[in-house]
Order: sequence, then C-alpha cells, then structure tokens
Amino acid sequence: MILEPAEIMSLVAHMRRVGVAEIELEEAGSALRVVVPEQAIAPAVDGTAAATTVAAPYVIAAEACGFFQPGHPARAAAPARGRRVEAGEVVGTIAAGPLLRPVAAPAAGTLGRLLCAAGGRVDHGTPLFEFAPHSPSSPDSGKRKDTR
Amino acid sequence: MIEILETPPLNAIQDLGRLGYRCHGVGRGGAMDRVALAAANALLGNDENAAGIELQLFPVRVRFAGDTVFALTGADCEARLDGRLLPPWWAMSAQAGQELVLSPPRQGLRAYLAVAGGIDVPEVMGSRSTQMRDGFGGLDGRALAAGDRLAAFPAPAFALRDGAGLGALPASLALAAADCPQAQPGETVLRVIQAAEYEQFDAASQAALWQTPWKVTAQSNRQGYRLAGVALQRLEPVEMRSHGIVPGVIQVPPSGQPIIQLADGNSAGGYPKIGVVIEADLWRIAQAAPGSALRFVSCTLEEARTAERAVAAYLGTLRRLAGYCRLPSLGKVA
Amino acid sequence: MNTGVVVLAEPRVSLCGSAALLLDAEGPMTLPTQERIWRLGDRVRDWEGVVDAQPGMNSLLIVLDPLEADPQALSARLLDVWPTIEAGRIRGRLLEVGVVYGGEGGQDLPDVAAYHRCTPQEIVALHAAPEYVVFAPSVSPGFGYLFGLDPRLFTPRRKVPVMRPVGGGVSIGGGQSNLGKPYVEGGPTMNPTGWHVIGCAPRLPAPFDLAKDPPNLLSLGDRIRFRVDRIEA
Repeated sequence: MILEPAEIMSLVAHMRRVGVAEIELEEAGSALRVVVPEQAIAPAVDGTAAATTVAAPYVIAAEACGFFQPGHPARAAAPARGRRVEAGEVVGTIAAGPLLRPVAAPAAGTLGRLLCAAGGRVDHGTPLFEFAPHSPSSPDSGKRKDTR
Repeated sequence: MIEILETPPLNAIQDLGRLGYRCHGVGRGGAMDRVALAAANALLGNDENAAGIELQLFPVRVRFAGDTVFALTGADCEARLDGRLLPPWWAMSAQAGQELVLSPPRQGLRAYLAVAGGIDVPEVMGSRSTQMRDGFGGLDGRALAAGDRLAAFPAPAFALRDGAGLGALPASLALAAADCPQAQPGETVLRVIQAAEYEQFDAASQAALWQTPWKVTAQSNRQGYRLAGVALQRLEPVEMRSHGIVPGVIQVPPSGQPIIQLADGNSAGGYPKIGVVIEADLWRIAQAAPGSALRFVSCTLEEARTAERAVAAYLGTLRRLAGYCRLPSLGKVA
Repeated sequence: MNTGVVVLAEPRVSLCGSAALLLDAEGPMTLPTQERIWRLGDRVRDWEGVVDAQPGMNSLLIVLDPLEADPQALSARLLDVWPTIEAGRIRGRLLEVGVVYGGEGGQDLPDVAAYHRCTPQEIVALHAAPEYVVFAPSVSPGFGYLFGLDPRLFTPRRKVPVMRPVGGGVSIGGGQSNLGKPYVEGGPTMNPTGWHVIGCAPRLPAPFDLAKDPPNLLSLGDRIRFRVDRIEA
C-alpha cells in the first residue's frame, strides 16, 4: 500500500483545493488511482442544513476531510450554540489519523447550531456550525479568509 | 529566536537524550516525555531528535523575537499566544514580538515547546539535553532563566496550510494504555516486565505490585519517582553488586517503597529490581503528578514490542500527514 | 542480617525491561572476569540492535534499540560468546589519593569498626592496603566503581539512607569501596547515601572534564591507591 487511508483523504482534500479530478500513483509494484467525485454536501445533524435563521446566517464548513470534533478531542466539549468566538479561534478539529486540522471561526461572531455530530465523518465543504458574524461587513457565506 | 520573559526553575532544553556514553557514567537524560517532544518535532517537520524546551513548572512567558512556527505538546497548560487560547498539542505560526503564556497545567505535568529548526545549543556527547546534575548540555548545563535568548537552527522555509495551525491527537488519546480493570479514573496504568530479582520477593509483595495502587510522592522528579504503598519484601535479603540500570527500572530499597529510575536517574545502582516499566510507557510517568497513583500491569516482551511499534507508527504517521499541511514559502523561517 | 552476595554457578542473562539485557557473570568478582566483561562490552557495541554497553560489577548491561533488537536472540548470542572471551591484562595508570580517615569527613568510621569488632586503625590499615581497580562506571560521571576491598571489610549497606557531605568521600557499601567526586561550587553539599563514609580525600582532581578527551580522568582498568594522611578520632 502506497498510502494509508488518512493520507488518501488528505490527498483528496488537496486535489479538491487545486481542482484536480483524478490522479494515479505508482510505487514498487503497487498502484493507486484516486478519482474525486462531485462534492456532496452532508445534511445537518438536526435536519435541514439550509434552514438557517436570521441570527446565524452563515455556515462554517469543513476544509479538510476526516472526523469532526467540536472543541478539541482532549477537552470536554462546551456547548457551541451561543458561544462568542474571536476571528481565527479554533472551534473544532478534523482528525485524519493522528493529525488534527483546525476548524476556525472566519470572523468574530457567535456560533449557532452544531450541524455535524461529534465524531462524524466529514468531507471538504461539510457544514459544521451555523455562524453569525458580529460585524455586517464580515465574510462571504462563512468561507474563511486564509490568514496567510 | 525565543526570549524567556518569565520562568520558574527547572525548565530546560532537552532532546531525546544521550546514547553511547554509559562507559563514562553518563545516562540517557533527555526529555521525560519523549513522545510529546517527538510529536512536537513531527508537527514541525524537525529532525526527530531536535532540541526543545521541557517545561516542568509554570507560569512561563516567552517572546518570539522573529517570525517562526512553534509547537506545544505534553501537559495541557492553556497556552495563549498574544491572548488567544491555543488547543493542546498544537502547532502554529508566531510573528516577531508575539508572546506565548503558559499556565499551570489542568492535566499532565510537563509541556514541550519546539520551534521550527530546533533549538540551537551545542551538542555535548551527542546530545543537546541539559544534564543539570553534572552541569553540561543544553544552555550552559543549566535550567533556563528570564532574559535567556535561544536561537533556532535555520529550517526550510514553510508556512502552515491553515492559518489556525495544526495539531496532533494527544498521545493519551492516540496510544491505548494497558487494560487494568481495578484502576480508578485518573490513575496511570503502566506495563511492566518482571526484572531479575522479581522472584526474590515474597508472594504477598509480588501480588501487591500488580494489585495495589502506588502513590507518586512529592519526592518525584526527573531523576526518579519515589512511590508509596505496600512495603515490598524479599524472602531473603542479599546484597547486590552495582550494575547498570536504565530509565524505567523499579528498584526496591530496604524500606520496601519502590523507586522508578527515570531520565536523569543513576546509570547504575545496587538495589534489587522487581520490574521495569516498558520504554513505550515511560512518557505516561512523565505526566503523572505527585499525589496521583500508578498501577502496574505485567507485560510480556512481545506486548512491549507491540506497544513500542504503536508509538513509532503514531509518530511516523503524524510526521507524514503534518508534511501535507506545510507549504514551502519564500520567507525564511527561524 | 545477610553476609554476602549471590555467586552464580552459571552466567545468566536477564531482561531489564523491553530494551536492555543484563549479563551476570558466573563466579566471584575477580579482575580476570572483569577484564572479560570490558572486552565483551567492546565487542557487543557493534552488534545489530545494540545501542550501548555498560560494565557493572561482574555484569554487563546491554542497551538495545526497542524497535530493531531481538532481545531473545541477543540473549542467546551473549551466552554463546561469553565463554569465548578471554581475559587480558589492562594495566592502567595509578592515581594516589591522600585520605583523612575518620573525623568529620569520615563520620561512619567508628560504626564500621564497631560492626567488625576492631579498632578504627585496623579498619584503615585494611582499607588502605590494596590497590583498587576502576571496574565499572558509577552512578554518574566520576571515579567509577572500585574493586579491591578486602572481603573482611564487607559491610552491609544501610536500610535507611543518611545524609553525608558531598566531596571526596571514601565509603564502604557491601563488598565495594567508593571514592566520591570533589565538591563542585554551587552544587549540593549533602547527599543521601546508604554507604558508610569512613574518610575524605580533601584534594582531588576533577574526575570528569568535558574540555578533555576522553572526559573521564580514570578509565576502566586504571588504579587508585589510598594513602593514609591522618586518622582522626
């Protein structure tokens, strides 16, 4: 096996990011072909992902694939709803094997409903939290501005 | 470059320790929690033996004098970078002038701070670890103090894919401890291989080793942990000749109260050994605070090997996956 | 109380955790056996899976790579090779050390004399008679473990450690005698020990100096002679 499942998931995320639909790897007699399907949006835990309210008009979505945890796996999760967060604050993690990728608040704001179960498998674009930015000039549909 | 703004004593530079100098009476030394330090280095793509800072006492305040990427692992000590709370076991970019503040841990005992490239201090006998007892290694053989300025080795320039950083699943969640039904929550379970003098102890002592909790006393530090519990007795006490020992050896002095020799422990000793904590579980001791309790579980060589492989797989996978989260950058790191 | 040390009829290799082996040599502690241990130590350092080797008193600790080494195979190999290792005289250099026996720096001398039912002078005469050989590295960089104590001076270690001054202490523990490191400015002045401190060497060269290569003043096989400078009441 060239790559472990977690690595393949990371690779898929990267392919999505750069817009590559298919890739083939060959190494020491084994080969791996990765085809990225059309992105599917997972439904919200408590029903309809689209049923946003005026209070929380945006969605924080996953930017990596793996297993989602609100807060951090080593800390007891505080209820997300109503929590005020700062821009860039890590509000959850996505685990691929032992690696944790951050889910960060795109701006200062308040978290709304949790849209994905703790421990749930998520993919690029899976909605995770409802989010209400504090300032009206805040982000476009919850897509985080890269701070780099 | 890191500047130490505030630190209690006993915080010092450590790597994975010295090998090959036992003929001089020099033991391994190095980080007490080798897994946490190795994970910090894995997140940064550092050499696996790069030196970091072992933090045993808090609060600690440091300032980054230049742009860098750092990782903080081990005890969960509510680190804040310029006021923003960091998740535990986390790596993140820091800009010149930013301050990192660490509070006394809410869980665990020792935290590890690593920076991209690793801390630049001279290698002494193959290691950058601070050997405080004999005053060599690390920064002039001593613990860090306010005002110290530490340089990092140049690292390949990179930026983190996610501005919010990246983390490692903490070892306590990633690496399963041995099964021990009688252990209470909060007790640290350690796998132990019987040592040469195990059979010299009476049946009640052998049973007590496995079946009773062992309290970590206040006389516990990097040299060793003195434990309190049932007094362990040998059937027929005989003098031992002095012999080489390794971190993890559970010695039983005549008081019957065991001592686990650890990173800065003696490289030789003359007390009988009832068991040895396996290498793969030594990091758990490093995070067990005085007042907490240890449990010993008998373990075979094969089980020890499996546990050791699990540690290596965890660190190896973490290193590989973290590599995907770093992007080459034009700027120079460190 | 016990009267001695276990003497094995056959060599024995035991596990010291998952990543170390301890070879205990058969028979009593002797210089030829120890010479073989030093040679075995040099030999095994090149073996696959071995990361370090450390002679003890009549024993050799072999430190292994926990991932690569096969402790069982290495145990068997050690027991195979051990009988083939020959003794070889290494006549090291001699260090003479002046000792003030008894008094403040050797406060356990009266107790040791009482234990052996003889006078402090007789203890000192027996202790200073032989040439001691550096047999093994000690608990930390220093003068090492010494061989040569007259078996008549065998004195069991204390059950409860006591605090004794740091700096050139000459002590007896079981069948061994020990020379402590000189006091280092700023270091601890007292040290817990189960050994009996019968004298003090006030003027000692540093046993370990990183500016030198090798850093240790004495190597395995070097010798120490204790010169009686004074006996204090």
